[in-house]
Parts: sequence; structure tokens; C-alpha cells
Amino acid sequence: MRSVKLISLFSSLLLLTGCWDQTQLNETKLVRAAGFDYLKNGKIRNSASIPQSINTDTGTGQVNNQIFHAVGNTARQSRIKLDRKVSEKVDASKNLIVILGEEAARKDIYHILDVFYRDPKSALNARIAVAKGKASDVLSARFEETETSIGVGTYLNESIRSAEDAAIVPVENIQTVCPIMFDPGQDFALPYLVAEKNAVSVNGIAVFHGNKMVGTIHGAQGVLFTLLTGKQKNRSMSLTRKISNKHKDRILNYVSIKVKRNKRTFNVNVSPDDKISAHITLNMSVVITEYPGDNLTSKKKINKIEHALTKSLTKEANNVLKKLQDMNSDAFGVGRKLIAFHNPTWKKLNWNEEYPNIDYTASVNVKVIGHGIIE
Amino acid sequence: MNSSHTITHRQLFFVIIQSQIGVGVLSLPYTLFAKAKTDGWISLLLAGLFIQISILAIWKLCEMYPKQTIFDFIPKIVGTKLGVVLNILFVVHLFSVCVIILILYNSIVSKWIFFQTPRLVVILILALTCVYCITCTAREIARFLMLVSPLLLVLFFFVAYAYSDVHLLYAFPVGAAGIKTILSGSSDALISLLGFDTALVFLAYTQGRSNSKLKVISYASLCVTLFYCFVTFTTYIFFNPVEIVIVPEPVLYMLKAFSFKILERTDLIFLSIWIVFVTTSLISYLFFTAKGVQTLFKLKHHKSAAPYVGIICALIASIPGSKLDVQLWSKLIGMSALCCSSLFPIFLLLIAIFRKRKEKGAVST
Amino acid sequence: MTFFKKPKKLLEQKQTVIEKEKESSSSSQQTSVKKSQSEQDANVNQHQSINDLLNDIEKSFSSSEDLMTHWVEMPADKSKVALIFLDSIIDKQKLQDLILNPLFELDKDIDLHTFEKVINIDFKKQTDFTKIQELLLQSYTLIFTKDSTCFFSVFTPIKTERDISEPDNEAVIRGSHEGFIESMSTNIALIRKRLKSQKLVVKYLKVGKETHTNIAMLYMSDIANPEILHEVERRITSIEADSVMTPGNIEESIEDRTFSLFPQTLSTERPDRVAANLMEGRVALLYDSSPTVNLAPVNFFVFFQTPDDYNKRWMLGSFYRMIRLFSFFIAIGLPAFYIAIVSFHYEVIPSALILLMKSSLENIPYPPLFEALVMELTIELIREAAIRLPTRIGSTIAIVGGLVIGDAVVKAGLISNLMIIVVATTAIAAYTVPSNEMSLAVRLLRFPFMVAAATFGFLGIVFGLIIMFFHLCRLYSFGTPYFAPLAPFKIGDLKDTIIRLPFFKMNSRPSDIKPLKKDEDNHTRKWEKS
Repeated sequence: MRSVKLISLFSSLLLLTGCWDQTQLNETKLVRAAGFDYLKNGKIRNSASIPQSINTDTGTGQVNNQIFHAVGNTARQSRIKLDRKVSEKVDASKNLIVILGEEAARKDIYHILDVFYRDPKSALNARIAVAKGKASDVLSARFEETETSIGVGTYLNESIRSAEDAAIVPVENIQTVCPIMFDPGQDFALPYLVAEKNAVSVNGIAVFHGNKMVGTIHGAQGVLFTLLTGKQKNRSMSLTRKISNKHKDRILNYVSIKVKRNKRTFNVNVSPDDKISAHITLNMSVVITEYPGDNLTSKKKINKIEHALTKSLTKEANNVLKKLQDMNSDAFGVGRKLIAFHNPTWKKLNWNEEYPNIDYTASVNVKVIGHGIIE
Repeated sequence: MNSSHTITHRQLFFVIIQSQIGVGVLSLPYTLFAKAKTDGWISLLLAGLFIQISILAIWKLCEMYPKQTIFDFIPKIVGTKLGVVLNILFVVHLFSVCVIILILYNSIVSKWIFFQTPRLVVILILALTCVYCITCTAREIARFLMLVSPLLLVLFFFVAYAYSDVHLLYAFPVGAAGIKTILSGSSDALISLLGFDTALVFLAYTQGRSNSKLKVISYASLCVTLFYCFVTFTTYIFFNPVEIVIVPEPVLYMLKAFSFKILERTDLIFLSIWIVFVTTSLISYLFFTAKGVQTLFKLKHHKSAAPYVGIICALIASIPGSKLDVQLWSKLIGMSALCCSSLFPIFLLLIAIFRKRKEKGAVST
Repeated sequence: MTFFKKPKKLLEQKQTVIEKEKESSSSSQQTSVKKSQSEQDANVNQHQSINDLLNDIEKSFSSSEDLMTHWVEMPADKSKVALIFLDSIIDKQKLQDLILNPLFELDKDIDLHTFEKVINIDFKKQTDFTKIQELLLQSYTLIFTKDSTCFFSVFTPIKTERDISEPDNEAVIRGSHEGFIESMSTNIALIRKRLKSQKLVVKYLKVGKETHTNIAMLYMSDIANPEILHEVERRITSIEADSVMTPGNIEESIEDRTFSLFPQTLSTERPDRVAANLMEGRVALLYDSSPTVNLAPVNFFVFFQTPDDYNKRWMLGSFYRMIRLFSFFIAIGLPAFYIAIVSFHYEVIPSALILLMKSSLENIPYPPLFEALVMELTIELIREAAIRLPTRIGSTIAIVGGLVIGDAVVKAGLISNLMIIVVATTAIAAYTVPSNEMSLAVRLLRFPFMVAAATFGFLGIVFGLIIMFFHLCRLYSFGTPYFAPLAPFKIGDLKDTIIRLPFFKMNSRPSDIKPLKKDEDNHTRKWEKS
């Protein structure tokens, strides 16, 4: 009984002392999208979108998009300055997306992201993207699409998500790029955003080498890039390819396919004289989703399409690899394979210099397994 | 020994598991990596093998002196006077283990969720909860430890979720660190596997055949070793080898990035469940300590020792403030715990066997 | 006062008092120790007149005015007989029908002594004069004749019982709609009706020096564990108090830990539930003039079973039982969880929801803990008011309290509408727990959890849960573990706790109450499936 009394005494003392770490939800301002730019003098400008919902009786709250800017020597300092401009405590734990200006991305991005990795409350699952030009331009872009009901953070997040679903851009967030950033044998790529007049479009892929952005890949090559990463399948991983020049009607020269299954085999070989060669083979099973030429009844016809697609996609894939080699970005991790399976060779190498010169090829095999509900 | 205080084999199994899994699980991959690099998980397996020897010694001791705790049979082995000294030393060792559990718990909690809450308060809420829990018999403790064991599955699933984004290649090449470093890494691994030594007191309460007791403890520590191995391996293929050096709590960090549709920041949920495991391992160590204090002061019941033990531990644990202090303390106490928990039983067993031989010899002559 | 014999224990205590009162010869003689009593009685009574006896009786009732004495002249031999009874507890119609009418029809051949054998089983010849008071208090009418060696008793109770009806707080959809009433014998009858077994044992105990509350202890002699029986009996007989009025008094005097929030005996008003539990080896305690029956020993999960479960298809039964267990956690933890989230860990809220939650909370002036406390207390107020009021007004209160206050408080911006949702869900969840006591325990438990959550966030909830579960692990009900099939873990006993397996799977009794016969001898599926 005495111990019970002691315990209750102490626990009641605890309760009297109050609550140290409370952060009330209604006393904070939530950053939903953050942008970082380098200024000319080397300082960092932090832009933050803080949506304020306006309470109405009906309950469907409208959102008032507010963008704040602050300049500081480091990312954290600019955040602290931002805090002073906003009435309540600024909190980035529910951040949806981090946008880096192209100039910032071309410098070491880890310097900016360090604050996200270090803070126990930060949102590591936020998406990360590179903006053409300034990040603040993307954040303060007018977007027509339901501007009053969602904040710019949600808008950007959703548009990148749909781009990920379409396999135009690889799926990355702040945490997933981190191990790759540290990896000497692999590089990563991020979505590339362009601010347009009334919208922000996901324009392509920003390719990185180490912690620095080195170039971009646009359009359809983006889908091939994602396919080459070995991603299994996606809801709408679609491609439209030109397969002939014969028809006068332009539209008849094209076929649209949807990738059902995508199997990657990735071989890295080291010859006895330390020559490195890498080869990616993609075996794709596709469904034809559009082919106005019709008549897919015969095996011959289908074979012809398969052949044309194989040829065209192999060419395109090799183009992508060439481009990556030119930019010196090892996005598919040839170096990682070397570290794991050819460690002695790796130790001798200077990978940065070696990579652009390795024999790096790809081949794509397309197999048509379906053609919609008509033939 | 009251017959209504006994525990079953199944309960003993979970008691050992719950005592072993504790504070260590969050930072284990990091500490292992510091020495054995990506082969840390191999060190862990080796450590798992080493502790089987200690377990064997503990079991043998308890078989030689059935229904007695270590505090009862130390004086019988080494003589009354030396026995008292050794008992005091052992109780001090147990105190230090409780203290280090509290210190590490506080350092993680204050780093991840309670940034401003005073150290003493964070430590006291755990210590007092445990004090409440140990004011009963071994049987009720065993029941509780078994009750919360399903949470282990939850931890397992959380960690397994990481396989949605792993780079298997990071684990290669296997064995690059060399046997020597792997071996030296296993001493760190041993410290995190400590907790099997609570068998020294819980075995006294276990009923049933002696052989199956050994089996139960061995299986328990095998399960823990495998679980730790799984956790360590997962973090090694989730994080880049260069990255893991700067992430002291890789398991939490890994979960921080995951989000489900209904819940985000899984690390907070994981942390809450992890608290339960810290509590359980502290419960068994505090119980062990209280039993020791009971024997030393010849108390009627360990209940009366419990509050003092808990509060003294909490007060000591709130001394070290900075990160470096915590490191120093954990290094010192870790080493002493290693000696007392895994080596001491072996020595004790050797002395006991030697004595028995001698006695036999004396009788025969 | 001490005219008649008391239970042994009391007798010893009163011995000194009795000694002093020796001047009244009859009283002192008859309260002396049993052995020499009968002889002395005969002697004394022969010298004593009826008038003296009646005076003594009146004195012992402190001249209570409902003690009536009637003199009747027998038509046969013109002798006078005295009828004595407690006016307030006898049925006058019965008096007329059972005594007076037959009395006047007696003739010379038949006297009162033979009368007993002929007419009425309730008409008995009594010789033990020490029982006079007791008989009077039990609604007997006593007849004294000139012959002072014996008297006659007729059972003429007034019917004050209500009809058997379904208990309001334990209604079921399918199954028996009978409930216990305020009469112990009827209640035992209801149980006997369901368990027609000679192994069903009824044992009467008496507590309360003045109230003489009757307790009936029912058990199955071949199933219930004698250790538990002994323990229950020992605890009941050791109650020493002037008045033991309510079942709650007895409950509190016999349960293992009064300082626990959790009920350690199961109260029910349903005979079918009692019968089922008797068959599992539990002991039932029935009380005089109380429709509540207590079952002991119990475990935590018994409070979540209802007779309805066994009349549903087994999967539905299991589903609803799980819902009820889930509601236990909702009722305890939901407000605490909500408080922890909005004031500590809002990182946990999914992105899509966060702005919605934030906008609902935005202009609330009070911290969430205060909000929750105010709303929870309001709900408790409404509940308490609704219980005290007649049903028709009760529903008005519910509407006014629930709808009007709820709506207005949100409109006024005092409480967020999310908090209203949380509190309302919690209230519903608490009422889902079938047992009233458990439901009350749950309702009280959530306040400490709320405070813990507001002080330490998730950590507070976790420590709260640890303490609660540990408490459940170390709680016992008459020496059996309270949290039984989970701690200690018995996989076989889970079949009727968290889930309910089909009837033919339940071939063994739960082992936590240590039944003598583990096997239920059920072979409900003796037929072969073709």
C-alpha cells in the first residue's frame, strides 16, 4: 500500500508540472510546399506556401494560398527568418513537396536538404522536384485548376503523382534519394517542373550526378528512362511510337501501347583486361491501346508491329543511355553492380572518368499480348 | 518458494525474449556498422552463438541449485563472506544496467519526440511505471510479458515494410570486412543481446524438466538473435553504407519516410511500441535488482525494495546530460555488463564444479 | 429482543446480555443452549398461559403496531384460539381462506391437530417456541391454543412481487425474455427451470445482524471447484455488519480488490445467463428482494458476452463480440488518441486530412484536453439526468442535450466539430459494452488516459495502457486470474472469449475457473456428414 501511495504521489506531481512539448495544431502554420533558390550573392531564398483555410458554415473550406519568402545564409536561417514574417509558428512537418530552383540543383543539393534529414519532425516522405528557372516562380505560379480549394502544395504534389503513375518521372522522395546521393556507384533523377502561364507542367526528368544536377531528359524518353530502371508496371505506363512512314495520314503511322509487364535483366561484365561493359535487356509485354490501321488478326501483322516497336524502342533506349553517359549520370547503378560483384576492379577505378567510356547498351524486346476489345 | 509463484516454460520463453529486446534494437545496426561495416549482421549471428555458452553456464548453475536465485547460491559457491561481497557487486551491476536502460531510453526519446521535457520527468514516468509493475510476483510479471509479446509481430511488419524500397546490392560484397573486424564487432552485438541473464532469477521460478528449460532459453535467445539480424540486415540494404554512419537510429529513421494512407510518420507509432519493449526489459531487470536488494537487506518481500530501487535508478540516470556523457556511460556500463552477465556465470560455474569435485574427492579419501 | 434463537455466532456474543434478562423466565430459558432446551421448554410452557406468551412476543417486537392478535372462539368446543401475525406482510384474503373459514367448519371429530394432515400443506404444527419471531417475520400467521406444548403456523404471504419481465439493461433480440424479479424463490425457480439437474445445489446464507439478508449460493456440485466454493462461502460468512442492504454491499465485501475500477463479479438479471455460467462452474449469488444475481469468479471477457451471441450464427456472434472488445479500446483510448494527435503528433495525420482538421480547429480558444473534458462531462450529465427522469422526459433530455447543445457549441466556436465526433463515438462505444459495471469502469478510465495523453502524447497513452494491462494481469477474481485466457495464455479457452466458435467446437469448459469436469460431454455432431 505504501508503494502505491508513493507512486500516486509522484505521478500527481508529474501532472502538475505541465506539458512541455505540446504544439497545438491550431497554433501552427503548416508549410505545404517549400522552394529553395540561390541568390546572386550566394544566399538562400526560401519560399514557402502556407495555405490558410477559410472556415465557412457549410464546411467546405476554401483555401487561401499564401506564399512567403525569406533570405538567409543557410536553409535553416532562411526558415527562421520566415518564421518571423508569419503570425504563428511555422511548421514543416506536413510538407508535401520541396522544389529546388535549377541553379540550386546544379550546386550541391545536400547542402540544402541537410536540414530535412536532421530535423526529427521534418517530412521525409515529401516529394522533391527541380524547377526550371526559379523555384519561387513555380510556387507562385497561377494555376487555374481549382485554385481556391487546394493549395499549391497539393496541386504540385498531385501533378507529380499523376506523372509518376504515367511513368514519365521516377518515384522519389526526400528519403529515397538520400542513400543514392551517398552512393558512389549510382545516381538519381528527379521530376523537372516548368512554370507556364496558367499551370505548372511536369516537363521531364532532371538527371543528377552525385549531388548535382547535370541535365534533363524530356518527353517520351522519360518513360523509357523509367522502364529502364526496371520498374515493374504502372497503372498507365503508355507509349505512342511511330512505326512506319508509309501512310499519308499521319495518324496511321503511329501505334499506342500500354506496358503490362516489364522485365529487366541488367548485366555488368568486366573483361580480363578490365574493360567494363553493361547491357540492359528489357522484355516487355504490351497491349495495343490505339492503332487506327486495325486488322490485327493475323500473326504476321502483329509480328510486324512487334518488330517495328522493338527496333524503335531499342534505338530510343540506347539514345537514353548515350545521353546519360554524356551527362556522366549513372542513374541505373552500373557502379553499384561493380562494387557488389567486381569489388577489386571497382577499387582500381576512377568511376567518374571511366563511366562515360564504358560499353553501355540496351535492347528491348516487345511482345504484344493483347489489343483491346477489337482486333 | 511459494508454489503459486511459479511460471511455465512458455512464459519463461517470452520473459527471456522480452528482457533481451529492449533499448538496443533502434541503434544496434548503427553500432554494429561502426565496427564491422555491412557485415555487422554476421557479427550479430556470431554473438548469438557466443551467448549460448553463457546460457549453458547459467542453466547449469540453476540446475545445480534448483529453486534458488543467483543471490542465494553465490554464497554457497564461494563462501558466505565473499558471497556477500559478490552479491553486492552483482546488485551494483544490475543497478547500472537499469540505469543505462533509462539513460538510452531518455536519449532517444528526447531526441525524437520530447525536446523540451525535463530529463528527470521522462525518466521518472518509465521508472515509476516499472516500479508499479514489479510490486507483484514473478508469475504475474511473466503473464504480462507474454501478453505484450504479439507486439513483436507489429515491429516485425513495420520493419518488413522497408522492403518496398531496398537496395539488395548494398549488402554486397559479403565478408569484405574480414573475420577479425567481424569478431570485434560481435562484442558490441553481445551487449545488445544482454537480457538472457535475467534467467538467473526467473529460472528459479520455472517449473518443469530441467532439459527443456535449457531448450526454452536457447530458443528464446535464438529468436531474438534472428530478429535483430533481420532488423540489422534490413537497415543495411535500406541505407547506403556511407549514409548509415551518420544515422544513429537507423530503424526509426527508415520508418520516418514511410506513410500509409491512414497514417503517416510510422516512426512515431514504432517508437510508441518500442517503449513497451523498453518497459518490459526494464521490468525484468528491476525485478532482478529488487530481488537482489531483498536478499542483501534480508527483506520479507521484494515489494518494499521496489520503489527505492526505481527511484535511485531514475535519479542516477538523469545525471548524464550531453550526448558524449551518454556515450561514455553506455560504453563503461556496457563493458561491465558484458563481464557480469555473460562471463561471470561461466566463472561461477567453473568454481562450483571445482568445489564439487573437491568435495567428492574429500569424501572418497 | 433476544427471545428467539440467533445464529450461533451472534448467540455467543449476546450470551451476557441474555444472562441479565433472566427475570423473564420464558425468554431466558428458551435462549439457553440447545441441548437442555427441549425438556425445559416443555416444563415452562405448561405453566405459562397464552397471555403471557403473547405479551412476551409483543414485547420482543417493541409493541410494533402492525403486530396483530386476534381471538377466535372455536365453534366446536367454544375454546379460544389466538391468531397472531404481522399485519403488514400477510395477505388477509389468505388468512380468511386458509384459516378462518376452515376453522369454523371444524367439528368435534377433527381438531387442529388432525386438520394439519387433511387440508393444507402450509398449515404446520410447530413445537419450537424459539422460532416464533422468525416465523412471524417470514409472513406466517401463528395459531396458539390452550395446549401450550405446540402451536400452528400458516404461510400467508402477501404477494408484492412484480411479474417476470425482460430486464431493461440486458435485452436480447432472440432468446428468452425472462428476467429475475425481487423474489429469491422465484429466481431460484427460474434457474431450476433451466437446469433440471439434481446436481444443482442451493445453499442459503444469511448476513446482516439486523437486516437478515438472505443469500442463496447456487452451484453445480459436480462442476464447480470446491476450493472456489469454499472461498466464496468463507468471504460471505465473514461479513459482519448490522445492515447489508444491496448486492453492491456484498460485492464490495467479497471481491478481491475494491480499489480496482474493474468489476470482479458479474451482475446479471438474466436466468439463462446464470444457468449457462453455472454450467461452466461458476457460483451464483442470489439475494432476497433483488433481481440482481452475482456470478463469480469471472474473467474480463465474460463482461463482453451476451446471450444473444449464442443465438446468432457463430460468425456473426464472433464478429459482434470482437466489435464489443474493440469498442472497449475506442471508449478508453479515442479521446486520448485524438488529444495526443492534435496537441503533440499531428505529423501522423495523413496529408489529405490535415488541412481539414486544422480548419476545424483553427478558431477554438481552448486546449483539446479542456474541450474533451467539457464535452465528456456534458455527456455524463445528460446520461445521469436521463436515468433519473421518466422515460418520456428522458428522451427529450437526450435530444436537447445531444443535438441542441452539440450543435450550438460548435456554432458558437467553443468546441470543434471533430471533438464532437470523437466524444459522440466514444459515448456510443462505451454503451456497447454489455455489462453496466464494465461500461461504467470504461467511462471513468478514459479520463486518466486523456490527462496522460495531454501531458505526454503517445508516450502517455502507452504508459497508461501498460499500467492498465498490468493491473488486469495481476487482478484476481476469487483466486482465478482475471485476464484469463490471455494472461495466462490458453489458446483453447479463446474459443468463447474473443470469438465464439460453433457449439460443437465447445467441448471443454474454460479452465481459468478450474472446473472439476473439464469435458462438457458435448456430442452435438454425432451424426456423420454425408
